[in-house]
Amino acid sequence: MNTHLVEPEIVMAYRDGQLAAGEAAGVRAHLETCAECQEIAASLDDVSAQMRAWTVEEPSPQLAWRVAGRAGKPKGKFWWWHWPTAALVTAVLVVAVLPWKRPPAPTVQTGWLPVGSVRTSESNLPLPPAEPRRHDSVAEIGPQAQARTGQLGGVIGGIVSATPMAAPPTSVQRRTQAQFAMEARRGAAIPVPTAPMIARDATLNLTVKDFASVRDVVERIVRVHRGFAQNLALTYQAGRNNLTATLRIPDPELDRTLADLRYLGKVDQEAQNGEDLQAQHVDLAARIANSRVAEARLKELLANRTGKLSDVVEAENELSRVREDIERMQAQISSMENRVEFATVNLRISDTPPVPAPSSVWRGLSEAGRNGLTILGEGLMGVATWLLEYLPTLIVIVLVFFFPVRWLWRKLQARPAFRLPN
Amino acid sequence: MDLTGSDESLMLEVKQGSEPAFIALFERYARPIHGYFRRRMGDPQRAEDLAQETFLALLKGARRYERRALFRTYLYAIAMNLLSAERRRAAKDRGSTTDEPATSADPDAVLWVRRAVEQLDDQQREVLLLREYEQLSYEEIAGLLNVPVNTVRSRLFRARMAMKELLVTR
Repeated sequence: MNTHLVEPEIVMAYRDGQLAAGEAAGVRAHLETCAECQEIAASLDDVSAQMRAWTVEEPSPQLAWRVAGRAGKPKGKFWWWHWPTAALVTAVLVVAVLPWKRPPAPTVQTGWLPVGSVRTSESNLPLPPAEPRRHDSVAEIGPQAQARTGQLGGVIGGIVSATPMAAPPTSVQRRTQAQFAMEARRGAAIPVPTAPMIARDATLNLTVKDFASVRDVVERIVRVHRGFAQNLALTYQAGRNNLTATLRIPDPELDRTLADLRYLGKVDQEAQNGEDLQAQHVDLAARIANSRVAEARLKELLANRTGKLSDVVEAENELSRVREDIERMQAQISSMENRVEFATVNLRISDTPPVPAPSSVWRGLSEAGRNGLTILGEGLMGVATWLLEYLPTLIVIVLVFFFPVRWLWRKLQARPAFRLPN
Repeated sequence: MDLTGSDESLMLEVKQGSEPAFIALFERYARPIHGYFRRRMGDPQRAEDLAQETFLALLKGARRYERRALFRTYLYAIAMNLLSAERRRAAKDRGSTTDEPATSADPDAVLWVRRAVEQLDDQQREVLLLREYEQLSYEEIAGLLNVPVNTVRSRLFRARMAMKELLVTR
């Protein structure tokens, strides 16, 4: 039984210098008087002395070379030293920066397209955030609107058919109500149209998947084509969101507008009508001319005032009626020309009918599986397309980099970065 | 940059991308780390390979280094993990002599010490080697082996007493 106040392990710890100063002083004092502990300490020292005989050879000088060669330089600010990485990054940058020729656009597109990524025959660019809404009017036709069109660039290219917007309406020159009034006061003749005056209107019913941004997209399409929304309403009926709008589009832009609207979703119904107003226009112009002649004669009669008072009053009444007829017919002509100049689009957009919830777990899982496979297929197709498109050039660029990089790599690898300690 | 500073401050410099700091640490620990593997493995080339891997791992993990423990504990923990992986691999590969640190050129005294060390159980042997050759403190050994300091002390004492008996009987 060990009756020592100091355990042998403590003596060992003291010999190893592993005790705190206070404890070490106590053990040192004990050792000076305890022969048994002195013997333990001596045997421990003897073991350590014998073990020190086991030495090993020095590491070879190649160790430093190998560490230097494998490690390169420490990571951090020396990352650029890693030439293969630098070469690869450079190659990728070159690929990304080069002005690649875009692939030819598909000419026919069918099926669903999310509203947020409206596509046309020109490009597949997604829509940017909507511009601040503003009231569009015919006043936008001109340099400002064209400048805005140019500013939106690819965006508009993604919505519209990307044709130049410079051509203004040409079928009938626009004349405002004020111009008509001035012409009427001056007694100017109404121009007689020589070409057919076709007033066109269209009806388009669509179903879209993503209803959230459809209003912005419609407004943007209308704005791009220099039209305006005569009315627009959002309703919710039978579990479906609906947008109904009457759009007024410059006649030359009608076809392109309809084409862009069709890309919003699935076309449920579409119809177009055209009405020739030329005959009505000519008839109205003739009647206005006749009424003006009558008006002039009545004015002449009243100026002479040779009859009875009752005749004068009757002539005044007749003059008032004739003026009223003229103004009404002028308004009809104005409306007619407006119908010809701006086609009408009756638009109705609804979101997809709510999908009934899967009736069972298995049905939900199978649907998820189908969706997953679809996504996988699309992803693989995208990767394959990217590789086919860029891989040849990438290979060329990597080959150009490969030999200089390899030469540098070997040269730098052969240089020792470390010394072994002497 | 003070290349004579503590291991921990140099390692923090390495973390920032300092090449001289890494060289300084390499020069301090190339021999001890090589010795650590050499006393535990028979193949000198493989021991050197693992020493190399230790420094590469140190460099690779430099960004994650935090001054929470002593650098020596950190470095030897890397070495110990590599050695464990090597032993697992060798155990699958029959005929390997990875754990046999013998060479024919050893003098008798050294051979005797090594034979005695080999007769210790694994836990005692590891503590003894870390103390006698790597000169780690009890606390560092405890941190490295993830055991209490008292356990380190008792294992070390028993290992030395066993060595005393084994060396006396030669």
